[in-house]
Amino acid sequence: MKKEFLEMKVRFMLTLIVMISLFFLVMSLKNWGIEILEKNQADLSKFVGKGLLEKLKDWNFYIYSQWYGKNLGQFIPIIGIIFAFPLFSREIENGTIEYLLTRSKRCKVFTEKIFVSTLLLILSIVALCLLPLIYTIVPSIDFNTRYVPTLTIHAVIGSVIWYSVAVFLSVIYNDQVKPLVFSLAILAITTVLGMVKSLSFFNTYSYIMNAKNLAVEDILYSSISAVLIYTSFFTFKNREF
Amino acid sequence: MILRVENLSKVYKNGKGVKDVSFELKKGEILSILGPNGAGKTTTIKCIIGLRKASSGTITLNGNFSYLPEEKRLYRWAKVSQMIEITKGYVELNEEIALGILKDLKISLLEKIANLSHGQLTSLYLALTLSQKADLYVLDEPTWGLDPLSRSYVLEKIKEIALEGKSVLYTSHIVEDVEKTSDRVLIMKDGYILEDGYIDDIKEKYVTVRARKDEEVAGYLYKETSDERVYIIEREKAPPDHEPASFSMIVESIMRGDGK
Repeated sequence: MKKEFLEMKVRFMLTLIVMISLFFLVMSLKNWGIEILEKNQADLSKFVGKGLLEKLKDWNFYIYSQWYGKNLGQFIPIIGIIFAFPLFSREIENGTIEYLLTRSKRCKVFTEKIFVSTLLLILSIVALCLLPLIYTIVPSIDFNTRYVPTLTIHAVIGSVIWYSVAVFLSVIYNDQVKPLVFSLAILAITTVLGMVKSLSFFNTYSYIMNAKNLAVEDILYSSISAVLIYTSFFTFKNREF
Repeated sequence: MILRVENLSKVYKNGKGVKDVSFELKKGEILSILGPNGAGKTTTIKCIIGLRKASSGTITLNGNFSYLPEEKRLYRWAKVSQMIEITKGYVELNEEIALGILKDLKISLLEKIANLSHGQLTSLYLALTLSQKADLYVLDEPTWGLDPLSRSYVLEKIKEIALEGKSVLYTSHIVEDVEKTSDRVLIMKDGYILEDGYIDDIKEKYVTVRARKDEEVAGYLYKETSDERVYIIEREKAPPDHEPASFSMIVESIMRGDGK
């Protein structure tokens, strides 16, 4: 277990540092961004409704749309993939899988890797989702946290489903590049497919960024993740090295 | 009996692999598998330890094992001391033995794995493998890449293990190493076992025969000069004017496998 923590440490820390920096950058750019939009109001009105500028001045709208809706929201699947793609493929590519599998049972190796990486993934996603809460202590900012729990649940489930896809690819491939590239390719394809109304469940972004309670999607995506993880375990257990 | 392999076959998609391999390993015995590249040594070992699945046959292992792979790869980000700690998290390790081997082979505990040479990495892997408490030590090319002093040291350690009643199964390309340390040897080629026996018995079994080039001899061709051929053949089939054969001559001839 200790080895898994040591291996995940850098990825976990880097993800947090990059995303926290992005959060403060986005927040600090609020006034500057609005200023630019005001200067170009005439051109802007061709593309967006008149009320957008006024809405953006409101901290609630700005945080929900620009953090949950854009920056963090768009990175959620990618963070899931980053946490998962090297899990097994790096051991296979570097040849250390032989060290591991001849010193520990396959079931234990799989469980420890999945436990540590899922734990750190969920911790980082929850931390990033709760980051805007620090604005609740700033008196000049009125941040309504009503949607935070739902968005956090969606972010966790949304990250775990892409984590599960990358775990499966990490188990079946012998190098680290293929799980990463194919995970991102599947993400791109499903997002495009999800633009078709009848295939909308493919678009995990619309789920992750949605602040409504979506129990059916919660269950559907969690079940898909569970099936993928179980399939990965079964594949890993029976794979030859 | 610590290990019994019965009719083991492992066939890959390209048709290569091991075919109908059977042997036993007793407690306290050192058994070496010799053979050219692609003979099936590593496949046999990987089937025994469960990294590969046998196509057919049965493997009975009575006890636990410690394994040194052919490619000695460890975590490049870790230091030597961390590698010991990590290994302790997985298996029962005699840390005193591990540290002793590392000290004798002059490997610093503070050195990063990424900075170790091939020989040093092999030494560290050996320290981790030999210090693990096990009934069977499976070593794939344990002395490959080691300097002569380290090689002798490792061979002594392997002998010590057997003296403690543990069994050793190892593969090697170095016939001298095998002759120095092993009790028994399996000679493999193209997935088959060509010879299985105690080293002294094998040396007793074969002799050298010199023959004219136009003579047909039922043996393994060892070498050919301008006017004669030298064969390794079974003593009972040899003419009276035969000469003794060294173990390396026998192994080399069988592995080359010409003219039986």
